[in-house]
Amino acid sequence: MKLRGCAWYGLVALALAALPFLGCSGNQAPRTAAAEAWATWGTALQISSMVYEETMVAVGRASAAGAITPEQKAKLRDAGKAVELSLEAARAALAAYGRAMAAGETSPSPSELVLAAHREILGLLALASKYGLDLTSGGVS
Amino acid sequence: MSIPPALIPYLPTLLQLGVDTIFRSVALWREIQAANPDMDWDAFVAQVEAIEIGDADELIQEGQGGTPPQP
Repeated sequence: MKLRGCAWYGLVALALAALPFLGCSGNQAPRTAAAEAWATWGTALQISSMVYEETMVAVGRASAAGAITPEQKAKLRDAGKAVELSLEAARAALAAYGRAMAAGETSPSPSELVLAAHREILGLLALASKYGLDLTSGGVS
Repeated sequence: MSIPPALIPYLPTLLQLGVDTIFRSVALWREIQAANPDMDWDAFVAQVEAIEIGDADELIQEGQGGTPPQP
């Protein structure tokens, strides 16, 4: 049976939606608050950073292949720079949060900054998608 | 379920991202499983500070095969 486009879309969406449950089912062991924070916000930042880095490398590959115009490259570069700065801000906030908790102080959760970095990445990905960037092998799709 | 027409041109890229995210998430999930459940805050800070965030210009240059950007 050949799956139609929307069926693939549904399968991927379902798989993504199931990830938190998979994580929770394998997440039964008691953890310290620090381990919990790392498993939540630390890994979220790590994933975001990897997605950002691969996207920027794909921009370079597409540029070298002549698949995007210099103007498109400049726009992607600016969007990437914004992501870089927001990721650095989130990393600094997470580290400051950890240091405050280590010192026994109460500190507001840095979750907003991590989520803000995610929003910047979505903007970058939307732009990359608009210009037809192939994020798996370079060039354009 | 219907897909908004404006989204259709982007479906291949979105699917790539979806599949890529699944593989990455599974790999990270395994890392989390192997991580120390007794992590203290000092170790947390060290792990966070170890997260690498590359410079956008250097990453683009890396994608270009190390060639310097055009003036």
